[in-house]
This record gives sequence, C-alpha cells and structure tokens, in this order.
Amino acid sequence: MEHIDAAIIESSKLNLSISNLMKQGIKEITVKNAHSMHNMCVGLTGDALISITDSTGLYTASFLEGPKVVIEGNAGWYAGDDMMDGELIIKNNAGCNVGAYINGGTIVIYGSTGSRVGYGMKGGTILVCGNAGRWAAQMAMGGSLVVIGTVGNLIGESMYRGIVFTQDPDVSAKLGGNVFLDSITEEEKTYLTDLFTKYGVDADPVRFSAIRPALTGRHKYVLFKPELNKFDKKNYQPTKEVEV
Amino acid sequence: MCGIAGLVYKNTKHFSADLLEMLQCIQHRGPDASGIALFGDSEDLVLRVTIKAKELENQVLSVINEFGKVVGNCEFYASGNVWFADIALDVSEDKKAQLHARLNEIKGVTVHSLSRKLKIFKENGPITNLTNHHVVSSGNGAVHGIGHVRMATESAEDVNAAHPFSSPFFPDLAIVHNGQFTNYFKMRRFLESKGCIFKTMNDSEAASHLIAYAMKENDGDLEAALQFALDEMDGIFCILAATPTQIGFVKDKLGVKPLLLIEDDEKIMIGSEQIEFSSLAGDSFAEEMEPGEVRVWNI
Amino acid sequence: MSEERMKEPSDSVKALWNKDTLAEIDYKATYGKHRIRGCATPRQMPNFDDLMILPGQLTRMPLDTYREDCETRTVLGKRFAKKPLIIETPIMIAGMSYGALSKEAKIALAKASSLVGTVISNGEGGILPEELANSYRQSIQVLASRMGFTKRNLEYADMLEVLYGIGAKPGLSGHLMGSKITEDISKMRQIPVGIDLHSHPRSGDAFGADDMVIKMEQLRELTNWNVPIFAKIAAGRVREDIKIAVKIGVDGIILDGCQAGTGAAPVMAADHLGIPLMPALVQAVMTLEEMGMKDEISLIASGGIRNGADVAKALAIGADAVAIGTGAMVAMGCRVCMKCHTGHCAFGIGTQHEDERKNLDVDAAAERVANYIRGMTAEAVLLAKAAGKSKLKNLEREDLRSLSLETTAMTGIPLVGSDFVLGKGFGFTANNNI
Repeated sequence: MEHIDAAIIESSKLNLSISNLMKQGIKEITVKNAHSMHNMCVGLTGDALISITDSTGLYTASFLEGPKVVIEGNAGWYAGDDMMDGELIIKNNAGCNVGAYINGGTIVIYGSTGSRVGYGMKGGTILVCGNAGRWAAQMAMGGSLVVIGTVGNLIGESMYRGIVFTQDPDVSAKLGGNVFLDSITEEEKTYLTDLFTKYGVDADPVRFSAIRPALTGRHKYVLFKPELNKFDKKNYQPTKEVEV
Repeated sequence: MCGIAGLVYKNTKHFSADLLEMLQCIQHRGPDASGIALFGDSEDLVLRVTIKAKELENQVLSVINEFGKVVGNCEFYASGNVWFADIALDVSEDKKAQLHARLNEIKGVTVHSLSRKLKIFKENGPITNLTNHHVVSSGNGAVHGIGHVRMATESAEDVNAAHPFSSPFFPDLAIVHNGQFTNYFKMRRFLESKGCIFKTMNDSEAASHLIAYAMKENDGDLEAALQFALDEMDGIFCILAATPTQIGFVKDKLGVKPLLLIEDDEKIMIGSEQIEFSSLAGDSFAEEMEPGEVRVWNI
Repeated sequence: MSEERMKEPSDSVKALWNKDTLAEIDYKATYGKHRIRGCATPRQMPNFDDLMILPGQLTRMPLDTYREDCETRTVLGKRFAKKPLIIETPIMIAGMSYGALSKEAKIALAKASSLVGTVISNGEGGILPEELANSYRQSIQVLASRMGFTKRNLEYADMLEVLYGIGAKPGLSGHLMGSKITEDISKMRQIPVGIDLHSHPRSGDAFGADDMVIKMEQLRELTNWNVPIFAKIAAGRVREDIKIAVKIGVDGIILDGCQAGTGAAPVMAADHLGIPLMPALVQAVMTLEEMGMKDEISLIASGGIRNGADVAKALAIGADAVAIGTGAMVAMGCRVCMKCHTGHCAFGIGTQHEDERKNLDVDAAAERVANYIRGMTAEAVLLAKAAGKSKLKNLEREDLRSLSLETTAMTGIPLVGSDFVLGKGFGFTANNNI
C-alpha cells in the first residue's frame, strides 16, 4: 500500500507517479488531497487498485485501461470517458457526460449523475445506482447502461446499438427518439443479477425493462423541422375580425 | 552591385587610410554611398548618430541623460540632408544595448554606432564625401575593420541606409553586405516580433539585426551566428561581419556574389574584386571563396 | 417592319430562374426536404487564380530552373510536440473516410504518401489497417462521433486532428448513408450495418473551449507530448476560432475553406456556408500575427487546392502546408460527376459496391497520386525559384499581387501595377510605394 499526497504534485506528474508505482509491482495505491484535480488517473494501464480519498475534477480515469479506480467522494464531468477496460467506482455523485465514448470496462456510480451519461458509448457497462439526468445513452453505439433510480427525459435518444436497463415506472413518457421499450430476456436478467451482486446493489432484475434501438433502415426522427403540416383551418383563431 | 572590403593589418600606422584605399579601388561598384567600421579602443562610449531635424537634438540628449551623461563637446554638424554627431558618453557598458534601442525608437534619429571599440562612418556619394565631411579616425591602434561602397537597389538613398550597419541586439557588431535578399519581409517580421525597430527599408539592415540577434542568443559566437544567417537568409549575398575580437564572412550557397581573400603573416584582406588587393598586395592572386562558406578569424 | 419579320426576344439568360433553380424547386416540391449531393460546391468563388507571383528580373535574382535547388521539406507542429512532423513536400493528403471512399482508394492514397514522403489523414471512422500499413506518416482524426476511435489510435498517430468542422458542411452533424455501411465498415466504426448515420454534432467529452483546454492536457499526457495536435476548422469566423484554438493549446490549425469536398452534403450547406480559402487564410495569418503566434503555430490550408500555383500562393500568404482531397481523387480517375452521395462510383473510388471497386487498380492509382504530388511540388518550386527563393517556405506575401479589386479588398494584397489596397493591407508593400 503506497500513499501519494496530491496536494504536492501536478496532475501530469501524479499519473506518472502512480504508473511508476504500478510498474514496481505495487498493487494498492491511495491518493489523498485530490481537491478536485483534473485528469487524475488518465490513461493508466495495468493491474492495481487506486483509491482517491476525496473528490475529483474533470476527466477522471479517461482512457483507463485495466486498473480499478475508486473515488470516495464525488467525480467531476466526463469521468471515465473513452475508457478501454478496468473499473471506475464512484462512491458518491458524478457530473455530466460520465462514460462518454466508453469502449469497455465498468463504471459504477453509487450516487446520482447528471445529463448525457454514456453519451456515444460503444461498449462496457455503466451502472447508476441513484438517478440519471436527461439524454442518458444518447447516440450510444454499444454497451449497456443500467439505472436503478429514475431516468431523465429523452433517454436513449438516437441509440444505434446497446441497451438501457431501467425500472423507472414513468419511463415510457421519457423515451428519446428511435428507441422502444421492451421486456428483458432471461439472459439479461442473469446479467443484471450478477452485476447487482458484484457491486452490492439492492435491486430486483425482475422489475427492469430494456430500452432498445429501433433498428430500421433509417431512424424515424423528424429530419426537417418545423413540420409545417399540422395546421387545421377549423381550429384557426384569427387575431382580429376580418371584413368580408 | 556594391563592393565590400575587410582588412586585418597588424603593422600599420594608418589603418583607416589603408582600408579606404581598398575601397577607392572599387568605387565603381557603388557610387551612391560609402562607409567603414573601425575597431579601436576608447574609455568612453562613443555615439555616432544622425538626426533628420536639428530640433531632435534635445530628444537625443534627454534620452542620453536617462542613462548617463555626455562627456566633452556635443556638436551636431550638417552633412547632406541630416545632422551628424560624434559624442563621447559616460554610460555603463551594460546599459549600452538599451540606450542604442531607445535612441532608435525616436523617429528621425538613427544610431550608426554606439560602442567603446567600434566606430561606424558612412556618407552618401563617393568616398571623398566621407573623408571630406567627417573626421574618420578610430582612436587608438585599430588593426581591423570593414568597409562598403553602395549602389542602391530597392531602398531609397538615405544615408542611414548606407553600410556598415549595427544593431541594438549586439552593439559591438558591424556588418557590410553585397547582394540582395529575397525573404527580407519574412526576416523583418520575425525580427520585429523580437522587438526590433527598423530605421530603413534596406534589406541589409535586416541582416545586421538577424546576425546581431543570433550573437545575443549565443553569447557572441560569430561563426555560429553567420551559420544561422546562411540558413535563414535567402537570396544572393556576401556578408562581412566584425566585432572587436572577431572578423568573418558568409557567402551564399549559390555562389553568385564575389568574395576574394588574401591571407599572409602580416595581413588578411577580403574583398569583391582583384583590383582591391593591389593597394597592399600588389599582383598577388586573391583566392575565391566557396559557395556556402563561413569563416571567422580571431583578432 | 411587318410582324412576320420581327425577331422574337429569346429571354434566354434567366439569371435567377435558370435550369438548376428549377430542378432544385422540383426536388423540394416532390420530396419536401433538402437535397443532398456529393463532392464540393460547383459555384464560382474567389480563388488563388486572382493572385499573380512577382518574378525576379534585374532586382531579385531568380534561381536556375534546372540546376539550382529549392528546399521543399516541411516541419509541422513544433509548438509543443517533442516529435514534430517532417514531410518532404508541403502537400499532404486530406482526411477522406473509409466509408466515403472504397478500401482500394484508401490504400492507393496511403501508398502514394509513401512514394512521395508525406502524411495522410485517415478521415472519420477509425483507421483501415491497410492504410496504416502503407502510409509514410499517419494523421488520425478525432471527431465528435468517435466512431472507430479508441486509445489504440493514440499509440501510432504521427499527428492528431481534432475536428471542429469541415469546409464542405461546417456546423452540420456528420452524415453517412446507410447504403455505404458494409460489414467491414460497420465493424471498424463500431456501428450497425445499413442504418443512415446522423452523427454527433459536437464532442461529448468537451463542451466548450474551457473543458477543451483540460482535454488537450490529457491528450498531451496520453501521447507523451510527442505528437503534434492540430485543430481542423472550417473557414467561417476565422479570427475568433483561431484565437480560441491557440488558447486551447494546439500545435497547429488546419483551415478548410468552403470550396472543400465531401462524400455527401446538403446542397445549401455546400453552397452557402463558410467562406473561401484565400481570404480565410489571410485572416488566419493576420490573427496569428496579432497574437504573436505566427512562428509557433503551423497552418495547413485546404479546400480546392489544384496545382503548384495554389500551393505557392498559399505558402506565400503564410500557410506552412496544404492538404489535397478532391485533387487526389481526380488524379486517381475521379471525373467530379458529383454523384458520390448515391454510393455509386464508376471509377471505384467513392463506393463500397464490389463490382465498381474492381475498376480501381490500386498500384496504378497510387502512382498517379504520387505523380500528381510530384508535379505540383515541381510547379511550386518553379514559381518559387523564379521569385528568387531557395526554400519554398521563403515565399512571402510581398511576392504576390492581385488581379481584381475584390481580391485586393478581401486579402489586402495590392492591386497589380500599384501599391493600392482597400483598408489595412497585408504586408509591407501595401500602400507603401514599394
């Protein structure tokens, strides 16, 4: 177990220090006094447990490839973006756009997160134990997003591939374009059971539905707004009297 | 056209006359202006400067007073359409470059040289104008110097555009140039971004600032500075450069402009034409230097 | 004169209501939407033909066209990158995606880059392994969609281009027709087969320049500060964009004028968005000089570069290099029929259809593109030497004069036969009696 005091290092040197410790075979590293530093644990590869005792700034664990990073406090925006592999565990809340473009690995947010979680996600798993904001999994291209709490509006907007699991009772009113609500398969139930057990989440997979992308030749969104075809003469209320 | 001359002559009693004689032989190469840079020794800092209007005298003196004071007489004498002055100053050595730059900031004022070891004399018209209008002397024991006769190409016939040039980046450096640069504007933009103030539109002025800038950055290594100049400057050129302890040349890679050399135990003569060497070396054959060559001698 | 002998007016010019206008109206009347078209805008726009280069004669000695050398080697990205990109000609191959182009076309372009010693950009959607294997230097684009982009790309990129927009359709979200998404492309871009792609308009991992500054530090860390990072910007609000890009911390900027091409763009976007390269380039150079950054930031100009004269003039204005896209395709055989958006290409360049792709002979095409680049470089060298330069990069804006008042006004380059400019002027010769 090695300790690093982030208060006395710049972020680019921090990642190098962690990397060097890992190269020496150290398997557990604790970083204290992060004080919302940006770019912490960016691009780290290998196998170790890195714990950050307080909160982090932007881009925590971007491009992470292998280690397990645990943040005791809150994580800033874009945490885990472009992640390749490994685990990012956020004990409290996270900012917006968490897990954008993730390729693989797992992100777990025990608290809640803001909008656009899993934006453009391409693989991997994002588990939000609290609530997720709007536009979750927007334009996703793979992977799975699991939200235990409520989801925001326009969830799954224009997903191309991937799945969103939710138990939000009002989810039908909040679906984004080009997705549909579906029941989950037995395999997906097993997948969720294993996931919940692994991360100590108290939830029943049976209560979850899946949001899947509508896989037709072309997404059915209104390409050309305004639509200009809903005017009904009968309901037309002139603003002033017209002399005939 | 233009013609250049460089001389290192250890045993002479009348160095400036020897250098001027070399230039006289090539007067035909440049009837528009002439100039020489002499290296000697003086206790005081000597300023050679021109002003375009007599009224600027006060501005010059007030700037000098910010840095030190005038020693002895300060008289501006008219020649052509400007006033010249040759003033001794009590200013410390480390303030020299700053004073040089500050004087050049005044519109209508151009420093020709500001140094304890270098004096630059230049004047429009033939060499006789130079010797008639100015007291050409370097003080004690000069053994090396460079000179120039000018045929104006692109810029106007202003005496400040005559060679040799010096630069606030390295005030003890003087250069003369034969040729024409084709990337003058790029060089000028680069130098202006480093804080340089240009006093003319003459491309040779840019060369003096560029080489002086390199000297400033490399602590006075003339050979490295001339090598840098060879890479950065484009066009055709032969440049002679001298400081109190070094003299050297750079010749462009196309080998168009002439640069000839005679070297023996007594002297080093560098020039543009064979005839230039006849004053001190009789019929000896002067060797032509190689294209892209840089050579520096220590004095 | 009797009525029978009168000549009828033909009223044929129809400047406003010409055949193309009628066709566009018919399209909208039939389909109720905007038309999409491949290639670049066909409109007449100010281009480099309006500029002339001044040769040396008695003043300024020209160099021997045949025997004296002119250096063409170009160094890009030296502001921060520890390994700036060095290419042997200032002409690079612009980003054109595998998807928009066939595999054979991409391989040919990569091979051409090795034949002449230049850099090729992968374009959107990941990197074709065969392109990476054959290219001399590889530039990787980082787009908002991140389709096909992962950490692996950072490990072999010789240069990165963070894309904010392309000249052909700036400010629009990306668009790839479903018909062009084959199994191969689907795997590379990590997207499903056959669905029309309307991709992300802005990057999900940096909303705004303030976040981008931190993202840039991250990219530097991930590439060990070795790799030059460029921002690719469509020419629009050039001054403001350049200022922000410089503040973000890029090594260089790729400026894409509105004459640039693309696989498919809405007609209105290609024809009415953005500004041409020539004035944009002048604005970019002026802005960099105002910021005191011109010597640090590398500038690559693209969008309608056709020949060595365009290259020489772009360099004279202040670009360090140019990128060719449409030109390279034409060298391979493209005849600019502008049907790329249909997914069909008789020359096997802009298509995924197997039978059409057979028409492209990869090695012959590579040689043709290489020849084109060699020829253009020779043309630029010819012009530079006539102006007395022994290095292409010594071309200056004062070597140029403009043939028209419009070009003088929009570039600040003096009108031929004078020193006349409208407004500030660009360079020392403007209004200076030189």
